[in-house]
Order: sequence, then C-alpha cells, then structure tokens
Amino acid sequence: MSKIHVTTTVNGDAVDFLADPRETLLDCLRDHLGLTGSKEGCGTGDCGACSVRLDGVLVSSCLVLGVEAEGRSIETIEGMASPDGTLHPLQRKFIEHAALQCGFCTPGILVAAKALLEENPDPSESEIRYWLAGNLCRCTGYDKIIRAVQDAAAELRGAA
Amino acid sequence: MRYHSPLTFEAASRVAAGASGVTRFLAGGTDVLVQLRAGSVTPDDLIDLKRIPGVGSITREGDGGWTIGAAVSGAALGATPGLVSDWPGVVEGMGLVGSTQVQGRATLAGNLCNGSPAADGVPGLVAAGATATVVGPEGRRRMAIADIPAGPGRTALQPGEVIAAIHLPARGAQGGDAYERFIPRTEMDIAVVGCAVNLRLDGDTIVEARVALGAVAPTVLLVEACAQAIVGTRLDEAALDALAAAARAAAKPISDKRGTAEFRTHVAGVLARRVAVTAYNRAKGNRAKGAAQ
Amino acid sequence: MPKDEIRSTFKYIGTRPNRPDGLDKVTGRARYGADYAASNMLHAAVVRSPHAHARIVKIDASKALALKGVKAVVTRADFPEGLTGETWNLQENTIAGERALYDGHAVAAVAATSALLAQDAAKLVEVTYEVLPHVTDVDAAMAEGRR
Repeated sequence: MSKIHVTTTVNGDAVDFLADPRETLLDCLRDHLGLTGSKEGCGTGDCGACSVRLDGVLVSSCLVLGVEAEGRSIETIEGMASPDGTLHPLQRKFIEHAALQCGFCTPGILVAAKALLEENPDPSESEIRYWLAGNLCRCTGYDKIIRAVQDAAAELRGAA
Repeated sequence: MRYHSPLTFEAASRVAAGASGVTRFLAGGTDVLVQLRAGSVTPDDLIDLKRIPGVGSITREGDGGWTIGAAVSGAALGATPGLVSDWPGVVEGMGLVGSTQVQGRATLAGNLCNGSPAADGVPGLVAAGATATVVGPEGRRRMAIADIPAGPGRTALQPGEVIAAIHLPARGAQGGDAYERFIPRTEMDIAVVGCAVNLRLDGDTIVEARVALGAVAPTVLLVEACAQAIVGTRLDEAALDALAAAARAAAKPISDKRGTAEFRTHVAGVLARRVAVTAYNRAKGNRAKGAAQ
Repeated sequence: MPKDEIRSTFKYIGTRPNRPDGLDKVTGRARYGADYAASNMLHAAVVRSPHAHARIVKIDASKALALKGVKAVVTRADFPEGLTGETWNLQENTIAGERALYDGHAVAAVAATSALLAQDAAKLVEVTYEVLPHVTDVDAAMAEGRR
C-alpha cells in the first residue's frame, strides 16, 4: 500500500507525515504526530472525543482522512492553552467546576465549546446543549459541563 | 485503497468509469468513512471531490435560484442567510443530520447518494422540486432529485456518474417550505418519519403544493394526493384532515427498531399537518415581507 | 457544635479544591492506555465469528502469516487446555474453542507491525465454519437437549 506525503499546519506549526490513504486524520494526529490529546471513542462520528477544527470548522477527525488535511489548517486540544502555558478560560472553568471526571471526552468538548463561543459569545443553555449534543460524556451527567461553558462565556464577554 | 483527488468532475467520472473494483466518491465523508471503518465498504478507488474548483460554493443564480456545490456542508448552508430565507425547509432538513461536528462535513449530495430512506436532507429537496447536475461518461445531464433514490442504499445514477451540484429553483413570491421529522429523542437520531412541504399562495389560498414523506417507504415519496388535499384551500381544518389522511394512505413503512409500521403511518399524518402549517405561515410571512419592501 | 463551625475546622471538607488531575485532562496531556506507544510495538486485530453458533472446522492462517510484518496469529490452540470453572469461562469468552458461541466471538487474533497491516492480515485468516442452529432466548437455551 503506497503512502501519501501530506503537508499541513497543526496548531500553527508546519508539519508533514506519510499517510496510508485509509488512515483518518485522527490516526495521523495520534500515531504520526504524537498528538494523543484527541481521543478515539467510537471511530464513527458519534462521540465527539476526536473533535478538532479543520480550517476553523468543527469536525470529527475520525471522519476526515489524513490525506484530506493536505494544505489545510488544524487546531487540536494541544493548541488551546497559550504557548506560555496560560489556560484558555474554558480549560480553567472546566477545572474549577469539576466539569470532568475520567477526562476522556474533555479535549473534544473543550475544542467544540471553543468553536461555539467564537461563533456565539452568549449562548443560551439550550444552544450549548444542542451544540454539544455530539460530544458524549459518560461521567458527569453534563450539568457541570454546561455550567463551566456558561461561566467561561461570561468571563470571555466581560474581558472583551 | 487508491486515493484520487481530481480537479474536474469529468476527471472524477473517468476514474470511476474506468475502475474495476469498488469505487466511492468522497464529499463530506460522514457515511463513507463510517463504512470504511466498519469494514462494510472498503473502496478500491476513493475519489475525493473537494479539490474541484467551485465544489464548496453556494451561488445565487440570476433567476433567483440557487446552486449548491457537491461538497457544501450543512453548516455552510445554515450560514448563508439568503438561502435560509428562501428555502428554510431544505436548510433545516439538512441541519438535522448528525451533530455539530457532522454538520461541518456532511453534504446534501452525500445525504442523497447514501440512499437512506430516512435521509433528512432529501424530502426538502424533493418538495422544493430541486434538480442535480450529474456528470458521467456520457457527459452532463440534469436529473430531478426525486428520480435519484432507487431504494435503500441505491440510486438511479449510472456507473461513473457523480453529482456535481444541486439546484434549487427561484423561491418566487408567496412561497414557503418546511421540514420536520419524528425521533424519540431531541438530537442525534435517525428519522422515524420525515415530512417536507413546499407551497405557494395566492392571497390566503394555496395554489401550488409539493409534499414529500421520508422513512415510510424504500425511497422518499412525493405524494401528489397530499398536494391535491390542500391546493385550493386556505389550509383550514378540513384541508388538514384530508392532508393527514392522504399522507397516511401513501405511507408504506416497515416495522423496525425505530417504530412499527402502524406508528409510522400515524405519525406521517401528524407531521404532514404540522409541517404544512409551518410552510403556510412562512409563505404568508414571505408575502408580508415582500409587501413591506 | 453548629455546622459552620464544624466546617471551619476541616482543611478540605466544605471547600472547592481543584482536582489534581484536572490540568492534565484539560490540556490533552493526560495519558490513557491507547495513548502509549513503545518501540517495536505490535498492533493486534481480532478475527471474529460472523455466525451466532458454528463449529470451527479449520483455521488457515498461512496467507496472513505470509504478509511481511505479520508476527503472529493466535487461535485457541495457543491457549491452555483442561481449565475448569470460572477460568474456563473466561477463556471461552476470550477466544472460541470448538465452537463460536455468538456473532462476534473472537476466533483468532493477528499481531503485526501496524494496525492497518494487522487488519489486512485478519481478513486473510480463512476460517471454515459448520453453521449450527442458534437460540435467541433463555427458555430455548435451557430446553431439553440443548447444551
């Protein structure tokens, strides 16, 4: 099986890798680039644990082929905190509100929630719940996640 | 699996027409990659359409119609205010497919070609009278969307044919459309029944109507009897009753884990009523907006 | 003692401490089983029964083993014999013996140098089944003559 050379940008860094055309973007991030923050929960686009931004659009990286990333720009959980380590308000609020337990779904939810707040800085609870409907969490019961997103949104609005 | 990323639809069609094994076109990939992962379909040739210029574009034509490229995502449809205003039923149908993440990738053309009888993106297109530009070995042709589904997982497209774009007609004055589905939860589910209604008014009276039902037959149904039940009426109670009865009579569903045939038949009538009222109100709203301009 | 006074005497109870694993989990640094990679690590793929109940007549792994990078194919023959009780149950669930007992029952497993190679090799493992009747409820399973 011949592999394809893919050149792309991940969290602002130019990267390249060799991908079997059957490998998903998630496989490539995790296995070729060592970015294991994006998780594989289902591999079929149901759980959202692999959420990343592709040219700014929220997608499930398990439903994107690695070879499709050629020339695109990808953002993952690893790029969410500032380079100096300062957490994004969403990350901080998730810790403060204990909006995580096992943490497996957390990177995907944070990436998805950041995309929401950039599109809609003041979402209602319903809007948050619908936006995050594709991010499954088996630990928290979601309530603390919603509170953390609301609190982060309020802080971001205040800071703006 | 060989990965191709041609730069024209003609080239894409040539790859598919010349292939001897299993081929798949890749637009949003939200069905193709799931099948790949499950091992149910491992294409020998995978033809990515997204490098073709214009494939991700939404264009308003000179006559007021819309052309939607084969790789336009559900999210992009919803982010186009003019399209949402003209064809809210088409946009809300596609918007029900999957999660926010899936919306970032899933396409109308893919929803159509996947061939699910329960596809939420398709009844709205059929009700709208939409067409598709199909590119194949014999050249380009226009097909009515209603003629494309051929059964669960099957389409009327010939080997080597690929959908390049979907076309919605000009909305025109005093028109409205709507789509709703029934699912047992609030999000992330597959339609038990879906219904789209597209109609046009003259004053308060319906003069044109198209009613499409999803998930109650092997393919989406365009139900002429439903249209006849409401054309010439002001969508009064008697017309709504006749509409519901016509929808139930047309529904030929199976029983499966999502619902029994009896339940689906009943819900087809409930949804037809509800969706017709929404489309009617939208048509009246459009008229009011037109008058104000 | 009133409740608020009790609280003031505790170091943690009644406070909102940050969880110690929170930082790693919100940054994607937390490592789960599948996040570890080792040099020379092999990847596995499992061959599963497509039948609800079938006698396993023959398993031919020669084509799978012929692929470069395939290091091993294991079947029940590689497992201990003579187990009884709960350990037998565990083994029977892990990999099918004489018969596959459900659709999806593991029949063989392949180890190879990449996950995709292991999956490709798993498809080349040829299993000959003799399909047997199956039951789908407890009463039928307990009926006279069933085992």
